[in-house]
Amino acid sequence: MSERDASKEASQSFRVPGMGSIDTTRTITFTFDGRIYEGHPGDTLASALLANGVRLVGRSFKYHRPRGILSAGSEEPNALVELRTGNRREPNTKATTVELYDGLEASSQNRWPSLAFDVLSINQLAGSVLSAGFYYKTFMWPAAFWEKLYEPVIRRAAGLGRAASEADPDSYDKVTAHCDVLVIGGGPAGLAAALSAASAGARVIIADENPELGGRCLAEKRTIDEMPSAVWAKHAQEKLRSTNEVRVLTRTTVFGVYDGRTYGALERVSDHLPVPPQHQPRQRLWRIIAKRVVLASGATERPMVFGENDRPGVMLAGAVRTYINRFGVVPGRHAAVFANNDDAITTIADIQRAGAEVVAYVDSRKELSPAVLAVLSEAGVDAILGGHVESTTGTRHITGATVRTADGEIRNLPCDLIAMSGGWNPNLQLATHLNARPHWNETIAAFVPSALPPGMAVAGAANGLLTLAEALASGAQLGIEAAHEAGRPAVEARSYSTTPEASSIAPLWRVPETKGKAFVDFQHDVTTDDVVLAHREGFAAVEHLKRYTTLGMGTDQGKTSNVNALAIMAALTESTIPAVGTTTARPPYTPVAIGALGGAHRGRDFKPERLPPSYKWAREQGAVFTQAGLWLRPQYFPRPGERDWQETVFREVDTTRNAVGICDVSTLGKIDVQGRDAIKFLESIYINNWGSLAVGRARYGVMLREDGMVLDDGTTARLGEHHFLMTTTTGNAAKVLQHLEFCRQCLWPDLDVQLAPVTDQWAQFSMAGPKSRDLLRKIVDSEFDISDAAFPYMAAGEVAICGGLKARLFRLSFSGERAYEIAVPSRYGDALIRRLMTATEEFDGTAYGTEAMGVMRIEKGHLGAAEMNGTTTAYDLGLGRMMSDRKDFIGRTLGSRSGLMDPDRPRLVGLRPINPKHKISAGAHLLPQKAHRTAANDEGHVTSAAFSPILGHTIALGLLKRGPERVGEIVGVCDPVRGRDILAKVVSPEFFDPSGEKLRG
Amino acid sequence: MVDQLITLPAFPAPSIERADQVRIVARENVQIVGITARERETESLVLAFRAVYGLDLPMKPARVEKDGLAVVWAGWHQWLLMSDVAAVPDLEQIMRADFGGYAAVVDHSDARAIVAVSGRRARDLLAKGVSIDLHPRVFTTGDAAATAISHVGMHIWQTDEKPTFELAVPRTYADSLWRWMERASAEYQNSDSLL
Repeated sequence: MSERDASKEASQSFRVPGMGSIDTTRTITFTFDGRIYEGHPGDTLASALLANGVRLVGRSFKYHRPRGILSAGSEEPNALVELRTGNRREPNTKATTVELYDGLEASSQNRWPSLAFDVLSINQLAGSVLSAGFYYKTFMWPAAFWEKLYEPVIRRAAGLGRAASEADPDSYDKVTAHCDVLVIGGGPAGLAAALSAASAGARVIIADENPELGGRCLAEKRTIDEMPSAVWAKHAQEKLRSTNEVRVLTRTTVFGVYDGRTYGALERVSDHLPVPPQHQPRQRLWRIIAKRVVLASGATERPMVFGENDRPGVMLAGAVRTYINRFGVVPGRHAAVFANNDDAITTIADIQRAGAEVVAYVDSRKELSPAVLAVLSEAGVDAILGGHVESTTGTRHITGATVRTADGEIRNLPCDLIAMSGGWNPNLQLATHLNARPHWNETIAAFVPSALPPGMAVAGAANGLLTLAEALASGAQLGIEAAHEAGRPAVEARSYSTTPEASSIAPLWRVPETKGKAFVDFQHDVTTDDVVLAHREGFAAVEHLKRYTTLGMGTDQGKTSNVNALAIMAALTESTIPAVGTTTARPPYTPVAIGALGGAHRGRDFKPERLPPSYKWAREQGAVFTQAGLWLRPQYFPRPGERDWQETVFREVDTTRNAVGICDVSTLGKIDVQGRDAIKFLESIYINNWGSLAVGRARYGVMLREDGMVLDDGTTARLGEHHFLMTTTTGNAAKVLQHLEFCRQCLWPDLDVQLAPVTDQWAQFSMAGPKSRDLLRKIVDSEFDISDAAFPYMAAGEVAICGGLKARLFRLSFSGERAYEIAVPSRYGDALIRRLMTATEEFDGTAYGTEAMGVMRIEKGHLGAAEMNGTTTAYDLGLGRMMSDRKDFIGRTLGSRSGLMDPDRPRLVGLRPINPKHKISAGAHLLPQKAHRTAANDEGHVTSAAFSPILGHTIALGLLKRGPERVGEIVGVCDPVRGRDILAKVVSPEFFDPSGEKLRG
Repeated sequence: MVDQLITLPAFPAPSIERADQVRIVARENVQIVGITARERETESLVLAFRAVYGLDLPMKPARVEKDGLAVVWAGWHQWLLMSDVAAVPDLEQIMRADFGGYAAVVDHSDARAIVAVSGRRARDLLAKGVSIDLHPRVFTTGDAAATAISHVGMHIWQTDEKPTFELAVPRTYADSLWRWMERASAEYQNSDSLL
């Protein structure tokens, strides 16, 4: 038949009335490349296209050859389309798995200007140039051309589909499920396994990638317990759905096996609908933890490798049967069947029953069993035994097959469909995800699972048991065993009756003499010649073969190509298939959208947020927030009329230094330390002494890691004889608690010490500045004396505020000003900040954020995360004098290693620009004034820098080789990133009030 | 006079109702006190606690309750004690007075935020954020666990067979957790939800 006849077919003219199990009473419409077609609910896009006589569905990856539909499942390498439009557009969707819905819009990809006429199909003519390794060889030189020229050109020419350019409008969900028995695959073996396990009362999850359970029960015309297999499957599904403790997950692919008996599965909740219903996710990621697993993932049919075997109209025989039996669609009028095994024989009867003609049955085997011969003769088909299809004819779909008979005679058979079968490969990918190597089974000429992940058993075709009877029996038995091993009572496996079937095979990995390109991997356009070339150039090892030719990569991961390719390589190397081995299958089994892996955690919810107690108030003030770990902290509080953040920050600093400023410091880590040995514990944690700390006083402390580097700093207050409150920096709160718990539990388990994290318990506000005590007086109840005599610098104690609310008061300062910190239970934090801000009006005070806090701490030379960066010692940071030599503490021994005591180490200094107009930035390098600006002359770097409104110029802290000895020296500050190179004077890191007068008042 | 400062609830709303499927209720006004046995004093603490409250401090992840006082195991020789503010005026003070010799007593009333999740879809909802098995064959009334929900560390326990689960998270994460609850439970507005 000619191509023009095919294109004139009327709507759904390939639909066979009375066949298939889909609902033909309702008709829905869809478009493909803008043209409107009709189909039925239950169709896939592929079955609906075939029903309408559409064979040409896409263009191939490299050669832009016309491609059609090869399979009827998720192994499809060819029929990749762009589904939907706008921000829901999804490329590389398999037409064979897309469920048809009313109004579906799909378009072909990889073609320009149109599918039928594609300019780049010229690549076919350049085939000998575009062979395997072409890119590696050709675009190697010059290297600079790669990024700017070669790659963009290649990407445009070779890309597979276009992703949506806008944000994904849909939502995704993640769920964890636990079960006794997970059954992967809902074909006959899976159904039998699930029914068995359920009968034992097990918690069962059965997952299948199709919208209905049944697998090949729906695709073949077989009998189970005197029922058509499709009817049996329907009953089995209904029974499972109505059984307690059984969860049926359809449209769900188990895509990966992970440690701890954890399985990843993707449920396509709404992909069969135009858009997800309100409040429903598009897809749901299941994390399934299963005590036992029955893998019943079935098998995938192998193509035959012959010339021009990629033309539309060449299909897998099992897929032809699926389209006929499940969808009532016959993919051609005149079919040839080409096989090397008995299973394909049933295709003949199915095609004939669908009213089409079988022009020939070609089998590469010379001798067939009497039973099979009987089937052939009953069908009245021209059987060509010991023959091969060598090539095909046609352009956009096949018009004929060129067959060589056993006698060497060439026959041209006009046909519009070739149903081919090279045998079946068990879908054993999931059995190998934890690194097992499969085992070669000669009888079925395929790999079968060998060592299995813990708790997994394999049933049916996935284990090489290719007949229906074996699938049902193995499934039923393994389901019982799995349930029993998971702790359910032992029950008897039931048996199922089926009609007998033949399944022998004699492999043919490639047709010996072919004309034209013989494709092994359809998706990546890898031909037998490419495999030969890879062998010739030394890429014979199976992993090299894959990388050199790209065979087995891509969205189908070589499900139809891998075994053929390595069998061909085995022949080339005169080796055996098990000796050649297979590549490693890794998760995911089929592609998983990144959105599903993210689930709800995207955008603002990527990580949970921690909100400090004054958050609500600060937002009302229009504060600008910054992320500090998971915390959202006010960075600054802009006021109307302020031009930029700098002006705001200057005002906040200025007001604090001259009146009073208020800052939420609740984010600092707070750890409650109690116990008779608490002092001993602190002595061992901190480098400085604690024995002399009186109740009601606080002290600054520094702790080291075991290796001698500074871990964290902060103040700890003594609230009672055996009760302390430790504070940590905001960023190190969790790390310090972990460190303390490790020390308490593992290093000194006999110490009587109890730790409790109480960061969230307290809302704590700092009031800093000359007016801070006056402000404090406004809220602290009058019976409490907060005069400097009664409550001096570093005092700590309990007070009551606002008429009786118990609070903790500390006189601490990070800014260098007179400052207090007041802490109340968190639920009062919002009310307290509002009260404080009202009270502060009479002093013209301000709230300040992290930016102003940073400026003031640099002015004071206080340390931050940039200085305590994990590579600095107490000595480096000018804290050497704090280290007690009368006690042992963590980090003491390793901290005194000679390298860490080296006087040449970079140590903390202050820096001020010689020219006050110059700016110093954090990260700039420090070098001798006149030294050549090279890494060899590098002497340190700037850790923190800020513009000081008090001093009127930039100030900075830095780590400089022998720094403190060089105070007064002028050094170069080189910032190649920002293109600055200036001079700065080395000074003491304390720029502001070095004597601490302001602090003490 | 303390009421001069108004308290701010930990959660942004009192509850989330999803038809007859799931109900999420913020439990504000619960007093929570953490007690950790002092070294070598666990036995004395257990005996004293039994004598005063008639409750055995559980030595494994579990929750016991008597006369409005609930105890949840919270780690090695650590427990969270809970009562409604209305029932006991100052739980921390009472505990310190009764057991201060045997245990470190710390007020956590404002450190944790508690939310109760109940209804026939409660387990389905929690499965979206919690990775432990809450199936009734595995986890039942009186069971407790320390785990995480949606990346936030928490304690969870079951209080009845409705079922009702209570989750205690650090207060500063309450807003994030609530937002997650809102979204994760949204599908239960449709009574024919697919999960």
